[in-house]
Amino acid sequence: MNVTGVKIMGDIVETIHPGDRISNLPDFIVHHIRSYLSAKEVARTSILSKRWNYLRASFPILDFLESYPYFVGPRLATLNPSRRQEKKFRRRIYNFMKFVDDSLRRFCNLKLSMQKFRLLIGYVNVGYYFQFLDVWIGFAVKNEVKELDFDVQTDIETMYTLLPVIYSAKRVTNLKLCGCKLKLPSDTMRLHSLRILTLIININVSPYIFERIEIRVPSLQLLTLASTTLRGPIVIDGCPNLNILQLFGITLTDVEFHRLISKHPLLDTLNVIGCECLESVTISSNRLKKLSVGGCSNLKAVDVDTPKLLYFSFMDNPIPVSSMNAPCLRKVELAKDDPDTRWFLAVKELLGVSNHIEDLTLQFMSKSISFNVDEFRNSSALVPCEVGTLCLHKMEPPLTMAAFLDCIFGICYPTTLSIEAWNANDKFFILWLHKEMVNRDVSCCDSHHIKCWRHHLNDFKIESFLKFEDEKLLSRDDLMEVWPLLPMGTIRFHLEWCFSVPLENI
Amino acid sequence: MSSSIASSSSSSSSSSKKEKKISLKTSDGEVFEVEEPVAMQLEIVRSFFADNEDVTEQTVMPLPNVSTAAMHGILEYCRAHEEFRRRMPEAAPEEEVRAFEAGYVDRKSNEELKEMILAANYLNISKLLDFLTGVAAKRIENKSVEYVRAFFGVENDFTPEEEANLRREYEWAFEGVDED
Repeated sequence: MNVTGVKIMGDIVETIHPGDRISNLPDFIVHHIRSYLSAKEVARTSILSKRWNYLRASFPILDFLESYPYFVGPRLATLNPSRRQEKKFRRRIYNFMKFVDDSLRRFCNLKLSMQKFRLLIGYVNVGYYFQFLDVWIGFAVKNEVKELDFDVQTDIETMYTLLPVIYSAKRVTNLKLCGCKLKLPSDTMRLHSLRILTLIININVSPYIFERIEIRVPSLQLLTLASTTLRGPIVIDGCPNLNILQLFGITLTDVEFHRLISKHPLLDTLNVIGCECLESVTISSNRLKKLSVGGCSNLKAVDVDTPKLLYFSFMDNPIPVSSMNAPCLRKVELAKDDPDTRWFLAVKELLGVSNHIEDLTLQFMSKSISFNVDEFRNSSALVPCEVGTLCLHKMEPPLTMAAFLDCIFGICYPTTLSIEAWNANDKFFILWLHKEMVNRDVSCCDSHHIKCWRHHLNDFKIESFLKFEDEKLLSRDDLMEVWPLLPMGTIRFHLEWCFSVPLENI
Repeated sequence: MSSSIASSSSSSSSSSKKEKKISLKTSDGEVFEVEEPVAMQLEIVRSFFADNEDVTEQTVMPLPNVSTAAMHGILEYCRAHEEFRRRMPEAAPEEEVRAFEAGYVDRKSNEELKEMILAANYLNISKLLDFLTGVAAKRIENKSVEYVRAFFGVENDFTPEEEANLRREYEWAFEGVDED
């Protein structure tokens, strides 16, 4: 929360009750501390004293996310109530709505500006309730709300349509709308202060929604669009300051996507996840620093030309990257189901585009790895590059562990190898890996120019073990002896490579 | 806390003399000689020197609302951040900053923390104030009403009936609803 914003409010209602002079924290500091607390915690601090209770009325964050499950019951809050439960649900939701209404009216009577209004409400499938929502949005806009987070879960027939008053919320900087139907006026939004916009248009029972979405907000910096049910043109134009764009499940053709990217030259972060209409994509930008492409199941080609790119994530796409220019790349995350030799070759090539990869994370979900060492070596004359840290994430332990190890160290030589152990199989693999590194046999590779990792691994040691959700590192010499007894966690090996034997053309 | 000129100009004047120091006098009379870029993180000091033409290097600025103990804590924080800024002007080394901040508050008692919040507020160091109020919030998370009262030194001025009524009103904040 912005300090100065609260300070202004503190000046208006500065009060010192004689009872607690010793707790001489100024009003705005009380607000400031409360801004870090959850709504429940804030409510509890009202019982401290009369002053703290009085100040709660002027607390500018009206967050009803936590109170919703209390009022309707935790189970009804997450499920679509059955016919049998509907009566109970209606009674409970009425109590909740009264609670929200009272709180909002009390705050609005003070005529202070509102920092945040957050509401989650589900299945108000009776039009009768919508008038309350209209009134509340009106209150928030009138009180110059800065952050508005509105999540209405309904079904398609009774979907809530937001009143156009939302588009005159001149002070709103952060707007998140989920599950609401938008009636965008043809002259578009007049949200002059809006910097962050999140639109989530997902309906549980899902016929498609055909609607044109048009966003023209000059001040916009971050845009998130998520919908698997929206079918209709999406026009994002007149947002020259946009630097973060996130698309989840959006129906976009290649042409629409390319037009979108070219219209926003200041983008430095782009996430394209689950956009299944994309087939052949070229991402070319001189500014882009972070790029994630994931779950685009119809991709046939991806070309990336991003000289400033630092972070690249490419998860669960059917094909590897076709071409890439990213000399500054530092951090890479890759995931693939059932990877094959071709995929590992592509990864090796990808890592070679950077001057130095500091962090590489690999994640595969596969029963078997169809990896052919000979084919791999014959197809790539490149020496595996050195990387800082290689993390192996949530991998199903491969059946052919030796082949797995060959492809990991066929891609790169990491200084640090970090492996997560989630189950007994993972732990068995780590034990095996340790043994394999201790007793490495270098009688292989006679007929090959490029020697395998066994010839270059000079020495290694166990750097640390970190139990999941724990901050204390465990480092002891006999770690492998007690290994089966240890809980699940992350183990890190420090590897020392030696390249004194020329790697190529001996 | 009068002016609120953008703080980005704070470092511009430091180029002429490297070792320029600013003297700050706390409520109990101790004078601190503070390196200029560090002192300029204190908005009250920055605006005092920016707004007064007749101050010289010899001027000792009195800070009657800050104790010596709080000043030590504040300068430790500001010096560390100045060091981070100097080493990496583009982007602060996040992990290092977090490690420093975690160690820094670990050593502060609740009393010290409260005193420093008041001092950071008076000196108008918004970054430190954000940080310390966040720490205070963390320390009272999931604690009983009685604990939080003691933490802030708040005297309960409710009658038992009033308190009972309030606890009923805020019942939702104390527990979940029974199973359906």
